[in-house]
Amino acid sequence: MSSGLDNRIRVFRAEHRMSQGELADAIGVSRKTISTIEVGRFVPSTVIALKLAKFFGAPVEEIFSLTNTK
Amino acid sequence: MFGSKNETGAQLYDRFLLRSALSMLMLAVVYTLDASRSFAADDAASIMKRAEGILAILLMINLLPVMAKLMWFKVKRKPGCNDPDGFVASTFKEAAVRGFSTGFIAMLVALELSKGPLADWPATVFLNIVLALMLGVLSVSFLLANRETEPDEDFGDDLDKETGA
Repeated sequence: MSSGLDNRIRVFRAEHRMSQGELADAIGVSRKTISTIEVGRFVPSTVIALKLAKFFGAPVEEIFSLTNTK
Repeated sequence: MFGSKNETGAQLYDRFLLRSALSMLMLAVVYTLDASRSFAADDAASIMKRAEGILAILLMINLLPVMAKLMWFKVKRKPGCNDPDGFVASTFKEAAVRGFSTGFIAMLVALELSKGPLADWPATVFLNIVLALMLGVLSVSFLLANRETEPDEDFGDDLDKETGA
């Protein structure tokens, strides 16, 4: 059994009325990093995950969660 | 490709890595031409040498302006210009590992060939081929991993439903 990483960045972004580019600028990464994290193509580092959590004012586990796949 | 005036440090760093990969691809072609020159006729060899010179100039034009801008950003301590965590930096590291592995295997093959059937080939030919393979694999795998560019996704109707707004 392997685990994937699910995320709710799009939802948080919508709540904050932000585009990917605006979020990227806010946490100091490129837009491509945000878009690839959102679609699950890129697993972010702990630093990026913590920056996102800090920016949205939410715990990391509310933004990211493990999905078990067989 | 040509950065905007409002380019952030992270965007510039991504562009620098992209330009580096393109430069490495050019360098791989230069090494391939250099290796081929040893077996080419005089006329063809002189054309190849000229092509190598042109590619070397293009390589500098491609990389130096972005490198200078990145150094300027670092001096000004702009955030994100040394972003080792981003997607592009991560794919560059993966491509570098592929390039190194290819180079290592190519070196072992070249070592065996230089002792046996290709013993009369000059050592520089083997070195040029190994370097061309190493840089070629690195740049192509990096450029392939970064070829898709999704448009900036704004918040939309689907998200309003998702959030219950």
